[in-house]
Amino acid sequence: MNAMPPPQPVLEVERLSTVFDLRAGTVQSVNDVSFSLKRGEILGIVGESGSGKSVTGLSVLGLIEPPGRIAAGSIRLEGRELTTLGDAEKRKLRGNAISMIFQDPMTTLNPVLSIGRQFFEVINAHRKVSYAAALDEAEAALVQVGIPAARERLSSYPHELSGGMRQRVCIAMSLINKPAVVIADEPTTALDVTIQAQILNMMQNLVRDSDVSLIWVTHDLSVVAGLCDRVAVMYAGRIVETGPVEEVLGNPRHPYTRGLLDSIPGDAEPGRRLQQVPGTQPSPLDLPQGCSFRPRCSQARDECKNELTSDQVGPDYFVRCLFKLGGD
Amino acid sequence: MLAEIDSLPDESAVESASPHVVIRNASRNFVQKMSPVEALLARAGMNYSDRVVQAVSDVSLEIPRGTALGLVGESGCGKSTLGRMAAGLLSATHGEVLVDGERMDAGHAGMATRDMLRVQMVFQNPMASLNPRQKVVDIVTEAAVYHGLIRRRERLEFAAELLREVGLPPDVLNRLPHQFSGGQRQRIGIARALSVSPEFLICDEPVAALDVLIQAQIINLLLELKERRKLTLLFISHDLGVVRHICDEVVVMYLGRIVEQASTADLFARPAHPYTQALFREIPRIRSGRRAYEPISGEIPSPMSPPTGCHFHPRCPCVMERCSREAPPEAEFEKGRVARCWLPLSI
Repeated sequence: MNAMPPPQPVLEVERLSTVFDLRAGTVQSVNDVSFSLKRGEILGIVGESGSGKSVTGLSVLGLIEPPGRIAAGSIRLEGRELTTLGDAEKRKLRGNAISMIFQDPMTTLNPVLSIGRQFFEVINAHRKVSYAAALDEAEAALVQVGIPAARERLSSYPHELSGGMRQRVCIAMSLINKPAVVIADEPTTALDVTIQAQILNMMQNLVRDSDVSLIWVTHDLSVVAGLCDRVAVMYAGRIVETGPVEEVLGNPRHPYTRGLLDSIPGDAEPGRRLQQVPGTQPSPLDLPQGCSFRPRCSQARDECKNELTSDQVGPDYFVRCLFKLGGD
Repeated sequence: MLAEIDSLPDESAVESASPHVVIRNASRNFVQKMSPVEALLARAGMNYSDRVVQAVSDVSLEIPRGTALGLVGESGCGKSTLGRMAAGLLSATHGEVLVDGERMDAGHAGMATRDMLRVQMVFQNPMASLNPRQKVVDIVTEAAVYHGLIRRRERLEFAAELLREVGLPPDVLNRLPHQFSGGQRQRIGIARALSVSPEFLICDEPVAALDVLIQAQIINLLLELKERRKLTLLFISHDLGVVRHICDEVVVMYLGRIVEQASTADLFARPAHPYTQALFREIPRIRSGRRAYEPISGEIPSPMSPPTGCHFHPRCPCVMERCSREAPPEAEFEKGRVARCWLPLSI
């Protein structure tokens, strides 16, 4: 896969497989997933519900609990293998070298502690600081994410803030210990568009100023188009296409990515039927043999029943399909 | 079986007649009563009173027969409240809702049940709007049987026909809602709405909870049904792309008021109100590629205490002194285009 390893990747995920052992059978949520992340880079992971995009993020953070487990593959953060770490070592890492922003800030924040107190906990878990020093640091972090009257906000409780403000607090918290990698799981999905635009704008500036690397997990291709450097498109647990955003969204090579783009109204002529992909995602307990997208694909042929490899079609650009649409 | 459809008036004859749906100066307040302690304090002369939220304020619009009107805005703008008023689920505090010239708003005396069947609604979350213990066949035939549109012994045939129309196989009649995927559930919700042959369908964010491939399937279905059944649609959505695709006319709401109304083509070509312009600029688009966002600042104010004058003035990039004093009227600034702004098309 890594024929041309990029210069010093911060995070390298190689052939990762995460499975869930259920009574009904073993579910391959993440299947042979590989990607790497350079310093200061924003990678978008896109897919529909059940595609494995969130589980990929949780696997990197070491947050997979039984019945789930990482069945194979490696995750290296700044050269250090994460899959073999014990619980205590993972704890030291999370919120420190690697952190997460979740979709719903109301369930992420503790409703009975003030914002300042929660910042103190996050900082104190990794560094010995006084409460006063932690508050100073927290205030600076809140200013950075554009929260007005930051000092007063430290004594507020989560329910006193709007949804957009809560998500800003979560973002400030995820960055407070200067992590190398931040994983954001649909952080703007619950927000209104004007607030979403504010947060996306802020994230771009933060990444530019702080050199943090960001993984943005989302179902929304248009957010990826505006925010990310590279994108990985997931379907049924696999990355089917990954490459630079302009190329993947401008000239998709995988029929699934093509289908996703064609399904979005906006560029289509109003009132006309949208291009639609028939059927639904396969059950994770009963994946089709070979290419999982085969039953819904207009290009499918008999060869698609064979195991597919992810082929390189350009620098940093891989496609898992025999046909590779729109080739040169 | 679906005799109502045949009895629809000839389309060309109606074109010139009055619009199918008229909402006239409709407002809706929600009142939060004082607590007993506050009521006592108020009686003692202290400054307490019931809290009133004006969710929809003085909204007027018309929908010609067989067309689709999109209702757009962010959370708290009153679009769902207006939808529920149009569906007759909420009464209007002031104003009225007329369908075919007859009052339809809930609580209005003398409203015939038969008339109400002409208006139906499709909800956002089909799992919450379908009874989890009812089989599909019952869900889609209950209303038609109750209102005597079909006989009980016809219901299997009737249900199979409806399911076929919304793209579900007939062998699912005896299944329960949880046995379906999100997109299929939404199809069931649509079939239920169609079961009483409505002429006016209100869709409240019908595709917001669906994955994009499934969303495209449902949008296509709605377009087909609108065409085949000559439906009048009120389509509520926060997604401008979806609205652009389905609707003929668009109304943009902000904090309970209409800020702009225009044909879809005009609105997307030249948005006039600064809020509409901001919405359009900030919707991320695939084709525009990576770019610097220039978001408008601030958040939507609390509807409990909306700003004075123009509700949008604290966030508006081209605010004038007058805007905070005086709310602009809904004015037609050029033919067929209405905006509530002192300076339409100013950016």
